[in-house]
Amino acid sequence: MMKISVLLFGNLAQITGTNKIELEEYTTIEEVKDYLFDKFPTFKTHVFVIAVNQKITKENLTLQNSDEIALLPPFAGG
Amino acid sequence: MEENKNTSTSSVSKKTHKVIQQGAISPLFVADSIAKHSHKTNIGAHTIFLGQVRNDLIDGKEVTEIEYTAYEEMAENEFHLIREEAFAKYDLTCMHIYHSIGKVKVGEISLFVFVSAKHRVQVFDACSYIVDQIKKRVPIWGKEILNDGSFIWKTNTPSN
Repeated sequence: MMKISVLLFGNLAQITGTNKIELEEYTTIEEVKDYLFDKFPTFKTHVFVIAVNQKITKENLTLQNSDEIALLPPFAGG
Repeated sequence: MEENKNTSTSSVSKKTHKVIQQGAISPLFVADSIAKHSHKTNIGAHTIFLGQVRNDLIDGKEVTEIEYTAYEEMAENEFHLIREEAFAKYDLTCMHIYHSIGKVKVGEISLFVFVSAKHRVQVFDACSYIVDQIKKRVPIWGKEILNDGSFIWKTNTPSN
């Protein structure tokens, strides 16, 4: 069974009230994004990059079991 | 099948300590760090950068503190990569980075970068490079808490 986690940070975590979502049925980044945009329509107006297993990617990767996806708003460290 | 698992690469420098620290960085800690380097007698120059929380005015309201959050594992890895790059680009003896997580009040320190080398030429450029890279690449976020209790998410620009 495919199980992946989606981590939310910054304003995305704040607007959803959660910082982790576990998903089972989705196998590509695009599918995960579609699910999230459907569940949280305000995400469509927010800027973020996607990391898979802590590596930022723009590609529509095929996901593997236990993959960790993170939605990262613009950084503000330092 | 695309391999997208994170793979570790060989390191020039070993990971010393965690960069991310809970709460503000104490000035005494900075002083102590300086003292701890006095036995490294090949060092001729240090540059220290301290990022201090500033009381910015936003829509007429003042920032009173910043609450930092981070994607910690990725942030630690990114700090390590930045450290590796700095050692590769500049002839450094030593380098330490500390970044706060949690609440840091206005006037308190949230970032401490400490760069040491034999001579001064290297340390100024290296420190500047490290701070710029941290602001661009490390997954850390800040909630700027304002004096009326409301907040706004911090954004980094080239000048701040």
